[in-house]
Amino acid sequence: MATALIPDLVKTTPAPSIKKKSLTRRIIENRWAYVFIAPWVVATLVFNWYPILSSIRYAFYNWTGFGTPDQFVGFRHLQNVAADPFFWKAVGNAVTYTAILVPIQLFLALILASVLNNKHLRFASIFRAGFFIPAVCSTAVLAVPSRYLISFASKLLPDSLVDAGIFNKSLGFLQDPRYALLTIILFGIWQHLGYNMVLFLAALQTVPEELYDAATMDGATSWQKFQFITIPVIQPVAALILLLAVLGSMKVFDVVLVLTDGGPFFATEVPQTYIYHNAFATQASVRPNLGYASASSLVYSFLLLGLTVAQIFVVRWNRSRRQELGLR
Amino acid sequence: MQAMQSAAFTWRSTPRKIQIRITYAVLTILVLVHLFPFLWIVAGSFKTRDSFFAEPMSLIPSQTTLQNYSIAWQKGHFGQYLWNSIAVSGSVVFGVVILAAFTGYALGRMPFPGRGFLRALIVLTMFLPAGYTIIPTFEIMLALHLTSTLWALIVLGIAGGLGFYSFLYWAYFSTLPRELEEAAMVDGANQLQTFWFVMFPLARPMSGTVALLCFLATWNDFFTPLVFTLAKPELRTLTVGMFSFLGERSTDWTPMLAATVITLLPIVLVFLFLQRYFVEAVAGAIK
Repeated sequence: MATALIPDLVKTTPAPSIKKKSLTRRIIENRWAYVFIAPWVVATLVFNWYPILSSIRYAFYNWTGFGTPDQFVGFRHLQNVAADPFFWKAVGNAVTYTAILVPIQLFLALILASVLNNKHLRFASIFRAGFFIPAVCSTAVLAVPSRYLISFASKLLPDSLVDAGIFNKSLGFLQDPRYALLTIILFGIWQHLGYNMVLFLAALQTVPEELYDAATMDGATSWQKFQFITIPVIQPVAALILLLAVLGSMKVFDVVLVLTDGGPFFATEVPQTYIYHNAFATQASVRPNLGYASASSLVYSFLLLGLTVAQIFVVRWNRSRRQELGLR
Repeated sequence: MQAMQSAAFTWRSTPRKIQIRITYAVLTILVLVHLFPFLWIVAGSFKTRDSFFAEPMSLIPSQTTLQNYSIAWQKGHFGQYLWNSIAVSGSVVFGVVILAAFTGYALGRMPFPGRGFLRALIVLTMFLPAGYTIIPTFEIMLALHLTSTLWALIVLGIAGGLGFYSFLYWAYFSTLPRELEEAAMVDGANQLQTFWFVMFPLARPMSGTVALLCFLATWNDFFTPLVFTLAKPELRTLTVGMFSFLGERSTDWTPMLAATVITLLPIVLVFLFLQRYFVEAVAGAIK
């Protein structure tokens, strides 16, 4: 979030034009600054950096979480993660989840945003609020009643589907390996649709009104305006929305934990639940090994590194395009 | 193609008033479908157990009762959980707004030696893949003897958000004009007084954004409170309380729905009252 600001601040904030003063003088003059930043410095060292470095260290040890990790195993955990078919199955599930959820969700969000962006719709903000409500609610909370709602809904399906072997009523949607992941995807699309709609609305509002007016005078249709004005202008922001959606989906956790806990038979296991199960061993088939969990987290972070780097480039693209178009 | 063009033609030739009405009608149906789970939850929370099982999908209860709420509130301990959530979220928002404003102000406006390094550090920390840090974090809390108190959640909530929100304040403060600060300095205020009486009040719009985003994140946080309240059920927040329904009271369906209403109502009300600011804060993320 707000990553769009980074290159701007880091690169272009001008050094304050003060006369060269001695270092000690500058320190004394700004002594309050050290008091102001002290809480954050302590917090980031203790609660960001120490835990991150520790979790990297644990990846090289066998450790159940009791006592101190002393059984050094070198790269063995990392090798085992890379060779574990269940890990790759989990990665595959996250890819499936993302590949189905993101295009559908963003497509629907863009359509809704385009409709609500109409300045003649005076009650647009009421509808915007309605679509946004699920997104302000905790995923873990919403998923609990949804689990029951889904099981009721599956009982409403016509018997003809059951007879044809398409659906099994005693399993329902969430216990049936064929439908479990799909159901989670539907939940995901539903919950965060409004969030992405709001992001697209913000993007659409950056398109200068004069461009549309000029096109209207030239006799352009709505679709032509969308194709030749809206899309080119919002393209960089849309890329950022897409990337944030992909990164978020690849890290999906809460909804899977509550709806299926990775089951049935690992059909919905994703990397974040795989790591969680290895760390806390809530499933009987797994022995807790924090070393192994840390190692799998490290491998997965490495797999997602490309997306993180892409994010930085897209952010820069946004900035330069914004300046080109003379937008705020 | 021909058909599409003629369809487009028909829609375009429709008077605007009718167009708007059709749009409203379609949007109303879509919003109601979208919010169906919420309507179902609210309806179910007022149903008696028997009427819930007789017609689980109906939105209008044939027999209503408030008993589900009293069960959730007392036997389900949701009164306690609500208090825990309010205490944690309130403290975290208060702490984050003050501390992040201090940090952001120093990073944005005070030319102290070492600033470049700390600016780089804050950005780097934001991009760092978080990894599986819950266990080392737990160790730290054990060492600080905070694991069996709400303070663990408050401290972690503040520490978790401080970097990002300081960054927002830094961006905000660096856009404010210099003159105000200089005027305060000329009047003999030191840097602390300048910040507290001049610059911090000026940052009120950003403080509102930070408070909202931070409240939303803390109120909805699930994983950290889950891990830190495993051994102490009385410290659970609302989100963890909901999750524990699955294991402990999984047959109390209607009280579970009442508990959901208790959990979601505060955040939905805050959202509805502050809708505009919420939307601006969220949309600000991509600007």
